[in-house]
Formats: sequence, structure tokens, C-alpha cells
Amino acid sequence: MKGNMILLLPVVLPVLMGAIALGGKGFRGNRPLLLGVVFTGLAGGLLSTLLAVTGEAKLRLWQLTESVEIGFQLDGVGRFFAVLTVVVWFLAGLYSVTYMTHEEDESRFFGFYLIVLGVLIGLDFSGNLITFYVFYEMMTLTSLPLVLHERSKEAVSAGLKYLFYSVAGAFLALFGIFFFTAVLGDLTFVPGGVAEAASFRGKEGVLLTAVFCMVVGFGAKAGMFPLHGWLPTAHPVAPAPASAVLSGVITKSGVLALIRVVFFIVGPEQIRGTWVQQAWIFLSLLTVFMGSMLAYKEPVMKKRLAYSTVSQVSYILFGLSLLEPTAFVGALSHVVFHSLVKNALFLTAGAVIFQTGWRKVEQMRGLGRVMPVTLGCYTAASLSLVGIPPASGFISKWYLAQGALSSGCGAWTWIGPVILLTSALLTAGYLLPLTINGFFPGGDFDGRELEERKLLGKEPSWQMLLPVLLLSAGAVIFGCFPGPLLRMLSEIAETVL
Amino acid sequence: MNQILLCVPALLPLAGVMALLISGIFGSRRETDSGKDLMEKYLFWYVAALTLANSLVLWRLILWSGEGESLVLFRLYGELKVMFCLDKMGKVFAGVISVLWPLAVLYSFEYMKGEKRKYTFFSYYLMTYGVTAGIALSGNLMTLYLFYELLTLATFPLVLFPMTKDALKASRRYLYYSIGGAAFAFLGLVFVLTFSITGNTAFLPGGILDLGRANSRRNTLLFIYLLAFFGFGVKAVVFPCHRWLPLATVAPTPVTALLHAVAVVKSGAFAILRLTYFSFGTEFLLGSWAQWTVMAASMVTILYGSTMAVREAHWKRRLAYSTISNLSYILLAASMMSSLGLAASLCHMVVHAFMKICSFFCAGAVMHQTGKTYIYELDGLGRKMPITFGCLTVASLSLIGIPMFAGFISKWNIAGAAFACGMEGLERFGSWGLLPFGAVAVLLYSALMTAVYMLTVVIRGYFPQISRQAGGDLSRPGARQNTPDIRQGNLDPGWRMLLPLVIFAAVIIGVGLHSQPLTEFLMVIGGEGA
Repeated sequence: MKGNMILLLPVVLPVLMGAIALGGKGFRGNRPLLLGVVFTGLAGGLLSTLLAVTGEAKLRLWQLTESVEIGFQLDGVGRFFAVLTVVVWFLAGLYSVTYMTHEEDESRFFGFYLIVLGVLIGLDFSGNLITFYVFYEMMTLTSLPLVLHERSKEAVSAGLKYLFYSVAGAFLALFGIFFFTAVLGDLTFVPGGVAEAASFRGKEGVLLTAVFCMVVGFGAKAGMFPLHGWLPTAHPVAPAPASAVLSGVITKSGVLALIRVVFFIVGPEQIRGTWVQQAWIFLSLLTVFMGSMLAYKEPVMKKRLAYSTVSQVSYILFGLSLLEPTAFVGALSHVVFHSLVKNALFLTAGAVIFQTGWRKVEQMRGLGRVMPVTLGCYTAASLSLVGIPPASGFISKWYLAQGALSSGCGAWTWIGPVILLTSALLTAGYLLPLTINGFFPGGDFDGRELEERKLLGKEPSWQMLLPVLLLSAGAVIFGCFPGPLLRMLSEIAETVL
Repeated sequence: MNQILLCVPALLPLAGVMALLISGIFGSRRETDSGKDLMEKYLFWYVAALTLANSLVLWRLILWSGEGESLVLFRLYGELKVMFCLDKMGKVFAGVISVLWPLAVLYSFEYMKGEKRKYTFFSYYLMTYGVTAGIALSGNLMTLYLFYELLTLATFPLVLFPMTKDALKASRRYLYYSIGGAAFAFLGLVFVLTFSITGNTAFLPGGILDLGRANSRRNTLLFIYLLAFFGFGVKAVVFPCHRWLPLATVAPTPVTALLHAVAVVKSGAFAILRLTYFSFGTEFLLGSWAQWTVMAASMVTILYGSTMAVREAHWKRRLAYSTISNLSYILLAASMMSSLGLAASLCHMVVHAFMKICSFFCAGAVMHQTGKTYIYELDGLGRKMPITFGCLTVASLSLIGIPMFAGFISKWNIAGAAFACGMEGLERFGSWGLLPFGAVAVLLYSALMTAVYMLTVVIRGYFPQISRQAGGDLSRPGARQNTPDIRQGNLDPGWRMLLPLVIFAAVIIGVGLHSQPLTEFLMVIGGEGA
């Protein structure tokens, strides 16, 4: 137990509160008490994380066995992901207060919701690959009850699918971890990688195979082809706030994993120009295109958003796979933007279900008359995701395209931007029809049904509206004033590349 | 005095059983209505006292017996001695069984409450303790072989115990397989004795083969090693000698849990470790075609076992297939023929004992309390039997190899051994060196399958599906109240069944979090053995 104990607080506090919410017997029928516990956990997690990330800290906890050490360590990437996670988590938690009134077993939902938060912070603060892996597995297991929550047939089979894909990915990655432990011994994260070419002489083939296994394995969480199949099944069946954070935050832990592996363990120089890099670029671009295409064809709102996640998270992976500073900055900024936007979108979809019960996009004609403010937020977030300046998506895509052009990766320098552009068009194609049909349902639209169901002007409660507002406002504001964020990200990029 | 103690763990239960059986013959008429409860109580105290006493003696030996102490019980002929000796590796096995047996006996008393013929059951249960302790304490291959045969005979009636047609079939198959296997193992014994440098079959770290003579008949000896491997491999359920185990699950759960997941199968693995590291020696086997064959056989078994477990819907049979696959983890690690491999294989031997007995006892608790044996019948039991399913969850996560649970530690060590073997192998043996990397891939595939076959059970228990028929339209508020309330009634079994479960779960977590004492001890053994 050496080092700064403050790092432990944001991990332990939410987990503890979550355990209380799960185990406490008095919460059935006593909602204020439950919510009190939940917000103690959320606010405590938020504050302690903000407190923890301000300082420099390192913490060695204990050893599971020789060469397996559990330890925390703060660095730029960790801070960045941790702050993003707690903020989004808090907002989606606020949203759940109203949303969860129409679901059952609230205490189970909130319990696991909090536990996952603690686990994610642990993931962000991990100081070495083993600790990271421990939290990564925990994350899969503790987020599973969120997917299963409704316990309908679809939910259970989606949950199992989620579990098996995640576990398969994790074990694929574990192969790489075994390999690097055997060769390097110590897997503490070091910017730029700990591996030296000399230690791999004669084993280059195994090295590249191991890295590829890790790319595909950790890519499962980020929804990268070929292990993307769980995502469009699992995200939509969860309750809306859970889908929001699953799509917006948990997929990013796959991204974080790849950042940690490639830029902090293996080192970008080891794989630059090899078949692993080529394959990685190819897989991510394929996923970008395929995700947008499937989203475009999908009629169910939440599923469409899930396919959109598949596509958008692979933008990030594409940026990372170029191993180029500008693209790296673009990728990390897209982590933030996509997280905000996708949460806003999923929460909107949840609000629509909550207020009207509509699930398909075609049912939502005239939505602008029901909840104009919510739909306005949706529009702002969508424009941001499409990449219309000055909203935020433009910034990240600009950087990604620039990075691709200057990366010197052969044909990818122009194939990449072309696919990004095509996908942006498709994004507009699958997100904006709702705005258009919502605000301008056309002359033949008959508003009487809305009147009969007393839906006109029925905005959701403030707890649901505020997070949506804040998230979409964030998406726009970051686009207008990206300076500080980009400066911070460039600093990170300089240390690792 | 110390030396005398060495034979106690093996002989005390045997003597106790003799007394019990004799008293059973005379007392059988008295076992009628009035005297029955009293007799049961006596039986309980008698068996419990003997088991505990035996465990205490074992621990006395483990903690305070010096290196190299041995006791020759008698000589069969010339150098063929029945000899007891407790070295470090024996201590590991002895330690495991001495912890598990008393707890399993405790569990059995609750489990067997309604059964008839308790005398028979507990006599053989106790007798098996002695025989297994004998295997752990064997000082040479001859003694090991003797107790190995005795083990077959002592456990055969336990498989037969339910006296159903299935039980008859299972016990016969068990008998044929085991005795056939032992015959092959016997060949190994003969050749080890013939080529031994010491003139006997004593266990020495690094083997006792006279390498000069052995190398002149290298291929013959390697072939004999393979025969003996598969011979002992019958009990260690190596493919293709595995078919008796899934059938044998007809036996009462305490038997399946302790014998078919720990004592019997691990005796097989233990015998193979003795054969490989202490008789033939790794120097002779390393890099030979026999090593690659053995490694490939374990890999095939792992693949087969874990895949079949996924397909099996009967809970105990599923666990039996899981045992098949996990036993080959042990053999796979052993087949690395290195100090790391020996340590890793002993590590999994210890850890798997706790994980698997815990899972079987959970299955037994469910069977005992609800009579349910198939996995699709388990919907919603997690809330009714919270402690049982809590322990099952721990055991499952550990079997999968999730970090913070014991199973991760052993898998970590096995993979480490495999990588070390592969790295060295690539340099020394060319493309054969790739096989250990394949072994790691097999390990990970099996881990995934383990997740499938264990967690489906757990998830069924905790998250019963609400079917559309039962609940109607789910979006309608209050629809779910039509489903029966799953929180009603606590079905957890009595303390005698729960206590062992809780202890096992605690051990799994404890070892998962802090394993250095265990792994360091095992590394010492590994360092000596190869």
C-alpha cells in the first residue's frame, strides 16, 4: 500500500454505495432513501474523481501473485477518460430518476449502475496492463445486469450475447497479455511503450500475432468488426440511461484499452508499417462504413443509434490506427464528442419512449409538437455528429482527415478520408430525417391523434430534460471553443508518439 | 515414532472401516425403527472422529515431518517395497485432501439423511480417504501403483451405490476402464524398475532413469512412457480414456464432488506427475515426440471437454465434462516438462479441487433441496437459495479465470509455463516449439467455453426470463406481477451443507487475492523436480 490513497476513493465509494443499494432491504418502497444513496455515490464519485485528477499520484495496492501487481497511476489519458466518465455518468444518473419509474427492480439497476462507475474509474486509473485487465473483466460482469435488466426473452439473450462476445474479446486480448508478461515481465504503462525491439528478436511473428489478438480482442468492446455483433443487440434492450452510458462510455473503454496497449506497452514503432497496422486500419474503416450503412437501413430508433455507435467508435479506432499525432488528437477529441452526442441521442430516444411509447422512427412524425425542446437538443447533437461546423464533430473529423493525409500509410491516406466523408453523409441520412419529420411533418400530417393522446407540448420532466440539454450544449460548445481540449490532447499525443 | 506416523493416514481409515463393517454385520438387525436414530448418531460421530483424526495426523506430518523420512511397511520381493514417504509434492496433495475430506463428510451427513444403507456409503467413503492418503504418501512407484489399484476397488461400490440400472452400467464401465488403465501403468512400472539407476522405483526429483542405458532404447522407453501416461490417464480422464466419468455422475453428489472431481481424478494426475517428473525425469522426456504427443492429447481433451460441457444440459454431467477439461489443464502444464510447468500444474491441482468441489456441492444442494437436475429447471433459484448461488457464482468466475479469483492464478501460471516452454522450444526444437503457443490458445478457448457453460447457469438463477406467455405485454405496467413471486421462501440447505460451501468460496477468493505463499512453495517443488 504505497502511494496516494486518494486514488482509491473514486473507485471504492461508488462501488460501496452500489453494494448498499443492492443489498439493502429497506429500499423497496422507499424511493427517496434509495435515491439518496445513489446520489451520494454519484456525487461522491464525481467530486473525488475531480479531486484525484488534480494531483500527481501513484498507488501500489497489492500483488495477486508474483508478476501480477494491482496498482494505480494517474496520467493524461487516465484523467481525460475519468473526468469524461464521471460527468456523463452523473448526468445519465440524473435522467434515470424519472426514467426508472417505469421499470422494475430499481434498486438493482442503480446498484449496478454505481458499481460500474467505480469499476470504470478504476479502469481509467490503472497503472499497469494487469490491473487494467482486472477492471476490464469486472466491467463486463457488472455491466451485464444493466443489459439484462428487463429480463424479457430478448434482453436475456442479448445479455448472454454481450457477455460471450466481451469475454471472447477479453480472452483474445489475454493471449497478448500472457505474451508480453512472458517477454517483458513488467507491464507498467509508459508513454511511448515499454517494449524494445531487441527483446523480440526471433519472435517478431509471435509479437505481431499477439498485438493483433489484442487489437481484435479489445476491439470487441469498441464494437469493431469482426466482434461487433453484440453491440446492436445489447445496447437497445437496456433501459435508456443504461444504453446511453453503454454506448457513450463503455465502448470507449475498448478504445482506452487499445490506447494503453499500443501507445503505452507495445509502442507505436513496433507495429508501424506492419500487417497489423494495415489490418487494423482496414478493420476500422470497414466498421465505419458498415455501421453507417446498417444504421441507415434500421427502422428502430435505439437500434439505429446503436449501429451509429458501431460506426462512430471506429472513427476513433481509425484515428488511433494511423499512429500519427494529428489523427491521435482527432481520435481522442472524438471520444469526448461522441460520448456527449451519443448520450444525448440515446436519452432523447428514451424520453420519446417514456412519454409516447414510440420506438420506430417512422412513428415519430410530428415529434416537434410533442417535445420541441428535446427534439431541438436532438437536432443540435445530430448536427454535431454529422460534422457540420461549428459543432464539435467537425473538429474531430477535420483532424482525423488531416492526420490520414499526412500519415504516409500508402493508399489509406485517401481511402480513409473518402470513407469518413461517405459515412458522414450516411450519418446525416440516418439522423436528420427525424428532425425534418419531427418539426415539419408535412401538410398531410394529422395532428388529431396527438391531441387525443394529450401529447402536445408534453416535454419530459426536468430531470430528464436537463441532462439532454447539457449534453447537447456541450457538444456544440466544444465545437465552438475547442482550444483548451485540443491543446491538452496534443500534449498527450506528444508524449506517446 | 515419526516414521511410524507415516503409515497412519493410510491405515487408520482402513482399520476403522473394518471395525465398522464387522459391527454392521452384527448390528444390521438392530437397524430398525427404534434404534435407528441412535445408530445414525453414533455413525456420524464415529465417521467424523475418524476423518478428523486422520486429517490431524496428516497435518502433523505436513507441518513437522523432516525431509527424507521414510517407512518401509513390508517388502514384496527384493527391491519391491511398500514404502511411505512424504515429500513436498506429496504434502500438497495430502494438504488438499485433508482439508476437503472432513468438510465433505459434514456435507454428506446432511445430503444422505434420507438415504438407506448409510453404513455402506460411509464405510467406503472413509476407506477411500485412507487409500487416497496412501497415494499422497507413497514413497515409490510400486506403492503408488498398489494404492492406485486399491482406489479403483474402494470407489467402485460408491458408483454402484444408487443400485439403479444406470449405476450398474456406470460402475462396470468405471471398473473396466480403471483396471485396463492400471495394466498399462504396470508396464511403466516394470520398465522404470528395469532401467532404474537406483535399482528400485523410489521417487527422486529429476527421475531415476539410467540415461546411458535408457538412451540406447530411447524409442521403446518413450513408447512405454506414453502407455503409462494413458494408463494413469484413465483416472485423470484424458481423451480417449474419459468415457467413464460423465456416466459416473449417477453416484450421490458427495461422491461425484469429492471423488470424481478431486480424489480419484487427481490421483491420476498426481500419478502422472510422479511418473513424469520423479521416475522418467524431464531430462529424458524434454523435446521428445512423447512430450509433443502428451501435450497434444491434453489439448484435445481440453477442447473436447469444454465443448461437450456446453452441449450438456444435465447439470452434474456438465460439471463432469468441465472436470475432464480442467484435469487436462493440469496435464497440459505438466507436459511442459519444466519447473514452471510442474509448479503450474500443482497450482491448478489445488485450485481446481476447491472450485470444482464447490460447484458440485452447489449442484448437490440444489438437487437435495428441490430435486432439480437439469439446467433449464433452475430459473429463478438464485433468489431462493442466495448463499448456494453466491458460492456457485464465486466458483464459476474462478473456473473461468476472472482475476481476483483463484482460477486466474493457476491459469496465469499455466500460460506462463507454456510461453516459457514455447520460447525455449522455438530455439531448440524448431516448429514443434509452436505447440505451446497453441496450448495457450486452447486454454483461452476453453476459458470462453467455461464462461458459457458456467455463467448460463448463474444467469438463469439470478435473472429468470419473463416469458411473453406468462407476463403478457411487458410494456403494460404491472404486467410482471403475473409471474410468480420468486422471492418467496428461502430454500438454502442446512448449515452442514452451507458451511463447506462458504469455506470453499472463501478459500477461492482468498487464494485469488493473495497467492504468494502457495505459489512460492510450489515453485520450490518445481525447482527441485525439473
